[in-house]
Amino acid sequence: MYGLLRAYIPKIAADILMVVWYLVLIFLIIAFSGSGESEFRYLSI
Amino acid sequence: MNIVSITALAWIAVTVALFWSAPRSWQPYVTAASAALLLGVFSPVSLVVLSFFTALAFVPMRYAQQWAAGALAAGGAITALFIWFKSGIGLGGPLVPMGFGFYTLRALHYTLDSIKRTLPPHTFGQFLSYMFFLPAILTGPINRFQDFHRDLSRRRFDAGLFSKGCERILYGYAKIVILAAYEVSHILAVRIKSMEGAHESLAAYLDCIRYGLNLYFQFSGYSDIAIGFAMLLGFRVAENFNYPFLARNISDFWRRWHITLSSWCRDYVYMFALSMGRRPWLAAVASMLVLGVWHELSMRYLAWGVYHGAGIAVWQGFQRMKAKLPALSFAGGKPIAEGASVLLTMNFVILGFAITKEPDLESGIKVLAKILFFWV
Repeated sequence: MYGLLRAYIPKIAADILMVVWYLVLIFLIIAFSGSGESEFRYLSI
Repeated sequence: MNIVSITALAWIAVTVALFWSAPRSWQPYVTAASAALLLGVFSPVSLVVLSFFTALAFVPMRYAQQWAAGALAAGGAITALFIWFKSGIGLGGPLVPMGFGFYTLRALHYTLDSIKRTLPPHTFGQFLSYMFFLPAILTGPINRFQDFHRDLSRRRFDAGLFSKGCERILYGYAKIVILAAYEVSHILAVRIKSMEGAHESLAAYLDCIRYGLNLYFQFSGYSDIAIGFAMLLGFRVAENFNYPFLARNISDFWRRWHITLSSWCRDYVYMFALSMGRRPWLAAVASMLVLGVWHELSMRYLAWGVYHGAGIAVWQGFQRMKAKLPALSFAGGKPIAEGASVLLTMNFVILGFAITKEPDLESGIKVLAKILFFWV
């Protein structure tokens, strides 16, 4: 993803966008953790 | 242990910190000790079984006079124990300790490769650190000893690989929490539930898609975390998924879904069955049966193995027919034919999920019938 961004925009902008993207993901992970089905059957195979 | 937890993240962070602050020769033992502690705390039975398998796989190769016979006996004993625990005969029910299926296959790979003499020269410590390699211990990928041994000697702290590892772990958690748990298991499940009653067949079909997507996002998420964690330690572990729902045929699907398991079955079951019987279709069915039983010793997984084995056998037959009748290849390479083959493969796999998502074979067949005979 970073490589794709670097192909079109300057390094500093790509770096900032990647940091924002990671922060958004972390925020969403924290916000949605605990929702839905969390059991993973491959843990007991 | 729930991998989506602060405890798991802290465990990863502490292991990585201790790993890189230890002297180089001690580093593999740091992950092994961390794995042993994890299993000791959360699944002591698993620690005992893993230690036993490690000794059982190594001792014949190193000390037995007839090492090939000894290794074969060790492989047989590991398989017998696996089947016994899975069947639960005399145990009051199936006994499946944490990571059981994954380290059993690693131990068998080591044993069988030691018979074929394809293992590099190594010490017990190196084998121990392979069997107790924490990133891959719970849900794979089923990494090979040769790759592990290569990385063990070459590894060094690489900031680029470390950064990739962190990113991979983040994507893994995102797949598990945002896509699998929230979008698929929560949002999509509610939508499908609301359709039940009015559109029974469609709801059953969509529920199979939901099940497949949930499994894919969860499993590829766990694999991402394992691969990322290994990268933090300077190891490269084999990929487990490669856009499986874009497969063009069922054989291609199994080269893209749970790749380390299907390649294990190809190397140790398919090739063996092929050398014995010279019948590719029989070898494919045998491989898929083993793959099914590895998941669970039950009728539904046996049926699922036969279903996929039959799919691969039909595909192999079609390929042979195409070689004899070139007219059958008229659409090959055309975008519409490519799209149709992707759709057909996807639906074949989705219908297969109907068998395994239900608690027993009878209910699975009912769901399958509900989807296939939607007009009744």
